Amino acid sequence: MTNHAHNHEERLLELLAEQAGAGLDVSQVEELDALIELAESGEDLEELELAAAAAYQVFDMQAEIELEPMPESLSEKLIAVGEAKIASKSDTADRAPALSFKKHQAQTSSGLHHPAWGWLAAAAVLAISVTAWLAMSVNQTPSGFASQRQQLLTQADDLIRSVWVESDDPVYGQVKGDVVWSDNKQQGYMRLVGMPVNDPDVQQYQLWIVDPDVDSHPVDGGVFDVNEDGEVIVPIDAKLHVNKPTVFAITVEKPGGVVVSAGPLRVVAPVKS
Amino acid sequence: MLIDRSMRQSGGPRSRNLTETVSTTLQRVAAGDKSAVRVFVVQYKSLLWSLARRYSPSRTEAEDAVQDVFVELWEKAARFDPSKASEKTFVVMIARRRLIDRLRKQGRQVPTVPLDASSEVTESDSDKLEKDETVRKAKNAMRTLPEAQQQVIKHSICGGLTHSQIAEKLRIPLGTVKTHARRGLIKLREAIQADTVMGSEVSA
Repeated sequence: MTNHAHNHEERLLELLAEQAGAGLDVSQVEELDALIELAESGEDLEELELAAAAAYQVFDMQAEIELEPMPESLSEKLIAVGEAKIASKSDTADRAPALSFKKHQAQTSSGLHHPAWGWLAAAAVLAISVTAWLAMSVNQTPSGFASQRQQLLTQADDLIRSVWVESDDPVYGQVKGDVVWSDNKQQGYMRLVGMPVNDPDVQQYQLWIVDPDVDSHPVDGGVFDVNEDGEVIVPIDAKLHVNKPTVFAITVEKPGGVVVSAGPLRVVAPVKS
Repeated sequence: MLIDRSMRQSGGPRSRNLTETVSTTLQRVAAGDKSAVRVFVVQYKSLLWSLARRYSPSRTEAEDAVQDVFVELWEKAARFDPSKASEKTFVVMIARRRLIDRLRKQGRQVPTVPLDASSEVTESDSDKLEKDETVRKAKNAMRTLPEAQQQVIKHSICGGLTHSQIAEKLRIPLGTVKTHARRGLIKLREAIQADTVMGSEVSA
C-alpha cells in the first residue's frame, strides 16, 4: 500500500468512527463521501455503525425504558404506511399478473381485489364511468387553486396537514409538498413540488385517501395531471365523505383512472395523529 | 446522500446461517409478509418511540422522527443480515442514523446520555443484555479495551460529543482521540463478527 493510499484509509477510518459516534458535519460528510468513492468501503461504514449501535445498547440502558407509550393512533398509522409500502413493492414484483387480474375485476365487481395488492389493491367504492372522470389539469387556474387553498388554511378550524415522505423511488422519491384537508368542509388540496409532468394520453395520477372510519378500502380522491414543472396545487376530489383520513397516496394510472388500483404507491403522506 | 450510497456499495449477505432458517420479523417484512408489519411495530415501538423522544426537541418532532425511522426500516428491511448483527441492533443502527441525520440537518446537537449513570453495566442490566447476542459480544469486547479507548467510545457514542469536544474534555490530543475511537470501534466490530462461524452465532 502506498503512503497516499494508507493516509486515505486512515482518514476514512477516522471519519467512519466519528460518523458512528456523534455524527459528522456537512464538510466531513462530503469528505467521507469522496473517500468512500475511492475506497469502496461502504461495508466498513455499515459494520462500524452496527458496532456503534451495539455499544450504544451496552452503555445506554435508558434506551430500553419507555418514557411514555407511543400514541395508539401513531402506531396504527405506522402500520398503515408499512403495509402500504409492502403492497407497493409486492405489486411491483408481480405487476404483470396483477394488471390482468385488475382488468377482470374492474369489469365484474368493484369490491374485489387481488390479495397481492394489499390494502391499496382495493376497489374504489363508487362505480365510476369513464365519462365521469374529469381530470383536473392543475395549471389551468393555478392561482385560483392556490388562492382557494390559502382560503382553506385560514378558514378551516379542523385543518389537517401532512407532508409527502421521501422514498428511494428514483422518479418520485424526492417529491416535496403537503396535503391539507378539512373534514368539516370536505375540501382539501395537494401541494406538489417536483412531481414529474405526465402525458394525459398515456397516464394520469390518481389520489387515494385511507379512511378506516369510512371503509377498509381507500377512497378515490380524484384523477389529475401535472403539466408544468415546479410547484402545483391540486384540489382533492373525494368520491366519498371522508372523516378521519390517515394516509394520502398517489398512484400512476391509465388515462381516466381506475376503479381498482394496482399501485404501486408513488407518493405517500401519512397524517399526523 | 452518503448513507444511501454506502448501503448500495455494501456487499451482499454473508454466508447463510442457522438463524436464517427461522425468519426474523424484519426478514418477513422484507419478504413481503404484510402481517409482519404489525408484529414489527408492536415489537419495536417502545424502543423507537423512546429514542425518537430523546433525539427530538418536541413531541411533535418526535412523531415526525419516528415515522421517518419506520419508513427507513421498511425500505432497508432487505438489508438486514442476521449474520452481521441481531435484528434489534440493526433497528437501533437505522434509528440512530436517521435521528442523528435529522438533528444535524436542523443544526442541533446530539443529545447526551449521563455517562456516570449509564457507563457501568450492572448485573441486572447484564441479564437483559445477555438476551441479545450482538450486545453481549460488544459488552465483552468493551471490557477488553484499554480504559482510554472505553472513555472515548462512551463519550462519542453515548455522550454525543465530537472528537474535538472529547479531546477538550479528557485533555488529550485530538489525534489520540481519533486513534482511540477508530481502534476501539474496529475492535468492537471484530468482536461482533468473531464468534460467527459460518454465520451462526456461538456463545463464548
